[in-house]
Amino acid sequence: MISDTGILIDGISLSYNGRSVLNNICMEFEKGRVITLLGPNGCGKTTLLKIINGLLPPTSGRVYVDCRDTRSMGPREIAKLMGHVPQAQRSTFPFTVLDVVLTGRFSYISPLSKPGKRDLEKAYRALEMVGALHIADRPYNQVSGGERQLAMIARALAQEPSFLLLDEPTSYLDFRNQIRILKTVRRFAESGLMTVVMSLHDPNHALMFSDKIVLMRKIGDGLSEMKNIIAMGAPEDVMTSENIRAAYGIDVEMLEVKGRRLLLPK
Amino acid sequence: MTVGSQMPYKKYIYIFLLISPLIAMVLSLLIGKFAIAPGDVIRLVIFNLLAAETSYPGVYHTVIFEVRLPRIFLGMLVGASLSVAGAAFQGIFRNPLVSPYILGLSSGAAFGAALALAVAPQFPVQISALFFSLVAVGFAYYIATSRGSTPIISLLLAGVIVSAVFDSLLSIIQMAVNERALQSIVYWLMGSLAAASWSKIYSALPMSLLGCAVIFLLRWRLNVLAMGDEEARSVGMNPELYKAVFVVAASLAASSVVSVVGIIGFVGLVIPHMIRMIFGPDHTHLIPLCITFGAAFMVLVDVIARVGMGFEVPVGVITTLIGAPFFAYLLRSTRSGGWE
Repeated sequence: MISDTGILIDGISLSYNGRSVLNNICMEFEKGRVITLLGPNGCGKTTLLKIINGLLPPTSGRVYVDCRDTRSMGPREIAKLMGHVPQAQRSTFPFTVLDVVLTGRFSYISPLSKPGKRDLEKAYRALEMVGALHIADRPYNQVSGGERQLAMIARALAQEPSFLLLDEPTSYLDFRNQIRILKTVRRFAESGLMTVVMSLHDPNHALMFSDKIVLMRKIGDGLSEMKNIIAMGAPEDVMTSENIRAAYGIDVEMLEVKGRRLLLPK
Repeated sequence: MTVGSQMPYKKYIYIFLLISPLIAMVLSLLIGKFAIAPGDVIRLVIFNLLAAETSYPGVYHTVIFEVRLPRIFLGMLVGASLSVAGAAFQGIFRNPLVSPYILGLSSGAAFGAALALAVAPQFPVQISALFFSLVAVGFAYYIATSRGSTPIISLLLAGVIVSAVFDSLLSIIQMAVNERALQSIVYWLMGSLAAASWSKIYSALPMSLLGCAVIFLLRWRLNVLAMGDEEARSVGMNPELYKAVFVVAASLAASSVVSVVGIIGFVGLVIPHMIRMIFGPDHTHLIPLCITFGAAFMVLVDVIARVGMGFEVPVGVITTLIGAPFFAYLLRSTRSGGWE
C-alpha cells in the first residue's frame, strides 16, 4: 500500500565502520501529520532524519518523498521539498539571524545573484511564523540557544518545504520555548502547511504532540537485537510500559490525567 | 543585511571605504621622493588626459606616468586581490585567522621564485613563482580530498604540510647559492612594489581580475558555505563544489599578484577582519569593501614604504608593522573580535 504523497522509507540500512546502525527500516509517513522518532541516544534517529533528507547515503534501501526516489533528486530539489533543522548549530562569524534565515533561500536564488526583496520577505515571514521577528538583526551566535533553534527552524521554513525534519528541536530550550516550538510545528501540520518529522527525547512531549510515534532502540555493537523499531503507530498504542522498557531499559508508570496519558519513571 | 541600521555613521564609513582607492591614489600621486609640486602633478595629469602638450621637463612625465602611477595601480591590484582572497579563504575555512597563504601558496611561490632567481635563471621569476604557488595549493587540496569531500580541517593540515615541504626546499636553495643570489631571494621574499611597471600590471591583471570577479559574483554563497558543510547541504548547496570554486578563484587572485610583487603579509588577513569588525560578516558587503579598502590600504602603505624612512623599505615589512598593531587594537577593542 503506497499512498500518493508522504514519505515512504523502503528497507533502509546503514552501517558505520562495520557497525550496523539502522537495519532494514520500513515505514510510511502520511502527509499532514506530526511524526515523532523516539528512542535512546545512539538509536539512529539523527541518522534516519539525515538519510530522509538525502544528507547521508544509506548503505541500502530507498526513500520516496511524494512518490519520488530521493536519489534521483538534486540537492536544490530536495531543499525545496524538505527543510532540515539540524541538531548542532555553530557559527564562527557573527552573522545576523536574518542572514542565517536567508541562507534557506539558497535553492531559489540563481548562482550569480543574492537574496532579493522577495527572499527578504520570505525570510521575515519565516521568522514571524516562529515568533522570532524581534531577533532578526541580532548576531546569531549571541542569541540564546532557544532563539538559535528558532532561527534554524525559520531557516528551514524559508525553504518553503512540504516536509519539515527536525532533529531534537527542543534540546536547547527552556520549558516555555519547548512547548512553544512543539505547538508551532503542530500548528504547521494541522493547518495542512507541512508534514513534520522530528526526533524527541521527552516521551511525554511525544505523547502530547504526535500523530504517530516511532519507538526505536539501539542495535548492533554486540547487542543481540537487530530490529530498530520496537513499535510504531498511534501514541497510545506505542507508549506502553513494556515498549518503553524495551527501548530505554527502565520501568515507567502510565498515568491518565484529564484524558491525557502521562509517563512517569518509577 | 541592513548596513547602518543601528548606527547611521556606519553608512558614511561605508561610502568612504568604497571611494577610498581614489583618495589613496591622489595622495600617493602627490607624494614622492622626487619633489614635484602638487599643482604641477595635477596639471600634468590633466594635460596628459587631454593629450595636450606641456612644457614640463620630461623627467616629470616619467616620474608620474612610469613610476608613481604604475606603482599605484599595482598596489591596488595587490591589495584588492590579497584582501578578497583572504576574505574568501576565511569564509571557506570558517576561521577568521587564516590568510590567503594558508594552503601553501606563499611557500610555493617563494620556492618557485628562488628556483628561478638562483638555480634556473632561464625561467622568468614570475612564471616560476606563479606555477609553484598553484602547484602547492593544488597539492594541498589533493592531499585533503578523499572520497569526494574535502573537510576543512584536513585542508588546513594539508596546507601546513605543503608549506613545510616548500619551506624546506627553499632552505636548501638558500643554503646552496652564493650571497648575491641569496640577497635577491631574501629581498623577493619581503615583497615590494618598487619594481612596478605597466607590463607587470598587465601580466597579473587577467588572472587577478578573474579570481576577484568570481568571488565577487558568488559572494553571497560564501555566507551559505560559512555556515558549515552540513548546513549548506541541507539548504541545497553542494559545499564541495563551491569550496573548490572559491579555493581556485582565491588562489588565482593571490598567486597572480604574489608572483609579481613577492610575499606581502598581513593584508589578506587584516583587511577582511577590519571590514568584518565594522560591518559584520555578510559577504555581500564584505567582498566589495575588501576590494576597495584593500586597494586603498596597500597604496597608502606603499607611500610610507617609499618615503617614510630615508631609504626604500619593502612594503611587505610595512604592511606587517602597520597591520599587526592595528589588528591587535581592533581585536582588543571589539568584543571577541567580531567572532567567537
